[in-house]
Amino acid sequence: MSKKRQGQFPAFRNCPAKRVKVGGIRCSPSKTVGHPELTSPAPPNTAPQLDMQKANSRPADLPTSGFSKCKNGQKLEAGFLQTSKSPIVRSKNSMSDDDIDSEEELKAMLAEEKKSQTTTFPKTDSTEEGSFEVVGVDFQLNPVRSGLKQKSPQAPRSGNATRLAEDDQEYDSGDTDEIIAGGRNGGQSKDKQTILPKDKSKQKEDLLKNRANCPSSRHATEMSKRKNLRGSEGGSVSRTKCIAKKLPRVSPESEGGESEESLDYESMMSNCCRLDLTLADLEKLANGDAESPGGDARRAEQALPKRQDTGSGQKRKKAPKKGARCINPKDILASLLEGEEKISGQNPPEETMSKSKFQAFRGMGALYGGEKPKKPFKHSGITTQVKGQDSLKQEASPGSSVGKQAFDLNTYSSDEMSPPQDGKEANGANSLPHCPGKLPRRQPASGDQRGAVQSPSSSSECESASLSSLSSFGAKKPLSLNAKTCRTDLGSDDGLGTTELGDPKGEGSDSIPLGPSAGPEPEREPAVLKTQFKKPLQLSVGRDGAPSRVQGKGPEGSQARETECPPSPVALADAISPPRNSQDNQKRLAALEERRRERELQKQLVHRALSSLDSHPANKPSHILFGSDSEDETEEKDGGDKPLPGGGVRRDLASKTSGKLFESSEDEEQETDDEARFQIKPQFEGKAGKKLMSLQSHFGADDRFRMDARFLESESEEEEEEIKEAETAEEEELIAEKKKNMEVIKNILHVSHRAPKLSKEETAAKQFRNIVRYDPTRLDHATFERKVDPEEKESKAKRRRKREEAETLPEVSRDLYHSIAADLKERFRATTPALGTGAAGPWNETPEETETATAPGAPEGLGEFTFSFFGPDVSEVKQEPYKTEARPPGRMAWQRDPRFQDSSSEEDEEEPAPADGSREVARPEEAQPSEKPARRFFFFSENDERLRVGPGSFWQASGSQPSSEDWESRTVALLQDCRKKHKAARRKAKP
Amino acid sequence: MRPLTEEETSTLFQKLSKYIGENIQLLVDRPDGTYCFRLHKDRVYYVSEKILKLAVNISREKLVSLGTCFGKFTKTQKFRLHITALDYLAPYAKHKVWVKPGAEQSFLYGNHVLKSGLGRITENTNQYQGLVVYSMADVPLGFGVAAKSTQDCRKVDPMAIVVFHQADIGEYVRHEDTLI
Repeated sequence: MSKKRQGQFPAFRNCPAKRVKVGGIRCSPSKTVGHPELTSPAPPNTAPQLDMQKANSRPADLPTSGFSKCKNGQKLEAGFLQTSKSPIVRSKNSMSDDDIDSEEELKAMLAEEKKSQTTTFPKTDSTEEGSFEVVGVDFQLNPVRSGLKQKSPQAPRSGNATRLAEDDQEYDSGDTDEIIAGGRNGGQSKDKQTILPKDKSKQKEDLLKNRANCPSSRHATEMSKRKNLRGSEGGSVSRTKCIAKKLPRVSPESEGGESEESLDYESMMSNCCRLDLTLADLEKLANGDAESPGGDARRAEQALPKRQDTGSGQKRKKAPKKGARCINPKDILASLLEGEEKISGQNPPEETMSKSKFQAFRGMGALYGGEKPKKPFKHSGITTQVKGQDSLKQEASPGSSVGKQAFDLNTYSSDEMSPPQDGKEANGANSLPHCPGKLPRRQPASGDQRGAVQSPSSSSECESASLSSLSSFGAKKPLSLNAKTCRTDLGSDDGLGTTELGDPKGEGSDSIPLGPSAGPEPEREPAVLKTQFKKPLQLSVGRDGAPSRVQGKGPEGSQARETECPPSPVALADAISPPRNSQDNQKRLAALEERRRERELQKQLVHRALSSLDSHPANKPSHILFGSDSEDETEEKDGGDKPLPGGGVRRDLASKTSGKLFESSEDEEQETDDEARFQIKPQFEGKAGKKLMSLQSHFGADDRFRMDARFLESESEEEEEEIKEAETAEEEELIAEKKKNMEVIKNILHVSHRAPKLSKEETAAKQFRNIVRYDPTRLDHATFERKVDPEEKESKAKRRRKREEAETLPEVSRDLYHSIAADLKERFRATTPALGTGAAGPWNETPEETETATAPGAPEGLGEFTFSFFGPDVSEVKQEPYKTEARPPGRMAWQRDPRFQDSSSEEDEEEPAPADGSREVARPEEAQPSEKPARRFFFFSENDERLRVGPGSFWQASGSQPSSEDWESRTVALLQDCRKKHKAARRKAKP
Repeated sequence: MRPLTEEETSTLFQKLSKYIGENIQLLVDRPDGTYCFRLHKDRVYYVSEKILKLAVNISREKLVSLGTCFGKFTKTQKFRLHITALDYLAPYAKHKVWVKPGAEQSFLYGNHVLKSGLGRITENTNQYQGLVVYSMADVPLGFGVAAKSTQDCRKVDPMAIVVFHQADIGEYVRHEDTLI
């Protein structure tokens, strides 16, 4: 009992039974008994995830196997001590009739277990052999990061921690299963709701299937899920909590009567869980209820037959449904009431029931809005309800299970809601005495107003009074009590009925509440109305609705009321308690009034303050006026505005201060000036500051040339540069050190150190950072300078010289010399006239002529001197005519072509001197014989055949096709070759 | 405080390479900043550039420690690894040994690891290879030296020493005063 009260088990009921059997089987091989390692469920190395999954699907904790061995006898304790319990055990207990299913299930599980064992054991065996395992170099339990502690999922023997981790994972993975299961459950519950006339056996099967389907740790996961839900859905939290609270309380009561307490309880708890799972659906339902209250009633009606069908054994199945429907306290109550009504044997006609249900679900809206539905309720609904309840009680006493349950729930609810119920009772009572209490006081105030409106019939008045009192009460309640609104609503709506729950004796008097009200009705009614009117702010809607109803429907209902309610003494007896309540109510009303007044006062205050604020700028000039006169005026104005003495004084002071404003500011300025003068100026500090200071002193105290901090920039830059340099130097040092270290590593490891490949960005950044700006003024930057070698220059000069030398003219042999005769005078004298004529005539002819003329005189000797280098050979040369002659081929290697044989240029070069000499000298003689080749133009004669043949050697004839084709084919081949070579080169370059 | 000489550096790296192999490069050439080794009072510290700059402001006599102590040079100029280096070396360890929970405590008291306490060992571990010792939960416990190769470990009797103790995290308690 106590455990259950703690409410621990539902979550922890997991799946011990499976484990029990499995554990037994596992242990039976007794391979692993001694070894703690062997019991480890997780395979050490390779298949951890697989195993984890299996673990998820099945709760097989070997360490607890010993525990579970003790099976059914100590099942409960074990379940409590262990964190989990098997569903199979539960199923066995709870569903003893379906043993076959569970057994089959078990068998399947066992088979799976065996499989898993076969998969896991080889590993452990291997470890057993060596007592240690050998793992690969790249073995990693978890990637070890900086030596931090980490849970290893595989660690076979890490004990609780790992197991916990596994558990966690179970839960995690279970979530999805759970979601699915939840969906299934939700669907099933829905099904149950919709398809009510199901066979008992069918439902059982469903349940079983559910259990079979759900993973072992479902409940735990459900719990966690629920928590999540609570976290996420703020609104639903309170509801679920309510349910959770209520159910445990219900259980003990139910247990008390029955022999299968624990069984039933379990079933209920399991049902509870399911209830939570369908939260979303339930919320939807609740919303639907809120929107259309009739829907719930319909559902209740649907549920009804089922309830009747099911006996005591099916209670547990019903419970969830009830719970499922009742999320809101409102709903719960409503369902309870419905149940009562329904169970009462459908005495009340359907229409009234539905109407009463409407009432129940109305809540605040009913109170505020049109209260018309109340009318029929009052007339017929209440009484019927009361009767129904009576009948219910009677039925319940025999002990029919359904009735019992309903009763339990009822009593429970009444227990739980004892405060509200008290309130209800108070309401019920209140509404009655309330009227008479207030009547005498308020009648004088508002009696006239309402008097005209009131209906004449006393009975109707009585009823209206009661109604109005109820309504007013109901309206008030929500204002004061937020949390209990629903219940109080219900209470106020059918408060009369509920009072009967409290004291069954009073049931008989259906008209109890109305009785007293009916008595003093004439005086009361205005009072009640007044109370309604007295709260115009709070009950705007209710006020409107209530009077109309009172007026319109009062007369109709009055007849029925009259028939039903005879003024009974019991009612009077009941009304004895009220005075205290009425006093409380009055107090409360008074307090409310006061609060309202305070609020109004506050509002007024605020309003006043605001208005004064608004008015101020209009009165007061916003800008400051200089001059004492205006100030005085403003002062006067202020005085006029505010007659308060204190305010005037204040103004005065303010104005004084304002008058002094400028003086004081001037003083302040001076002070500040002085202060500024003697303050340390940061810009003059440091080296650069000195410079600035000197500059400033140069300018003197001239304000126009004040040296601000702005002039300090250069200095700071320099400093920064220095710092940077220092930093760079340090960095360089470090880098150098690093390089050195890497070198050492390389040496040690005998591994070619490859610089770790940096990403492009990094490399780029590095390059950019390492860029050194060349500064020619820095000495160390001389390393960046390219030194020009003087030797090289020298060598160049030498070369040049050599070249020049090489280019110099070849040496002339000194064998040749010219001897000059002594008597030049004579010689020149004689020839002068001849030379003069020769000079005047044309180069070609004159000499010839002269020579021809002199030629006969040549034998005369030296008398007629003709200048010639080759004096004696003249005659020989003369005879050589200029003619083309065939040269012996092969004289020059390149001159194979016979066409070139007759080119004279080479010949001339070979024998320059004699040729020239011969030409010069011989021309005169040749002139006559060279008459033959007509005319000579330079070296070619007219119609020279060489000119015709030569060009043929420079350009080809247009018909030379084969050569072009050849070239084309060759180009293709060449291209391919070139490409090949290019590719090969690329390949080589790449790696 | 001064940078290591070349000789010292090679001694240090030789020692470190026994444990982490070529992963020393990762210690020296780190992408997240410049780190270097500094010698101070015969101890070798692994310092980031940032801390180094700060430490420069402290005189030699006053400076107790900086960065992380990796070990110290003995009088015979051999390098002895300290447990404080574990955090830096464990992630790069090439060869590992996992000790059983029973042997864990023994190891943490400064004892060698017997074969009976050996839970797991990296394959291809040579004799006298530097090892990082882990618990079965993969918590690095300290440094050791393989007394036997992996193959030999299979053959030896359970009471034979398989891992020589070098340093363990129990030293944080045992050598609290000398451990810097």
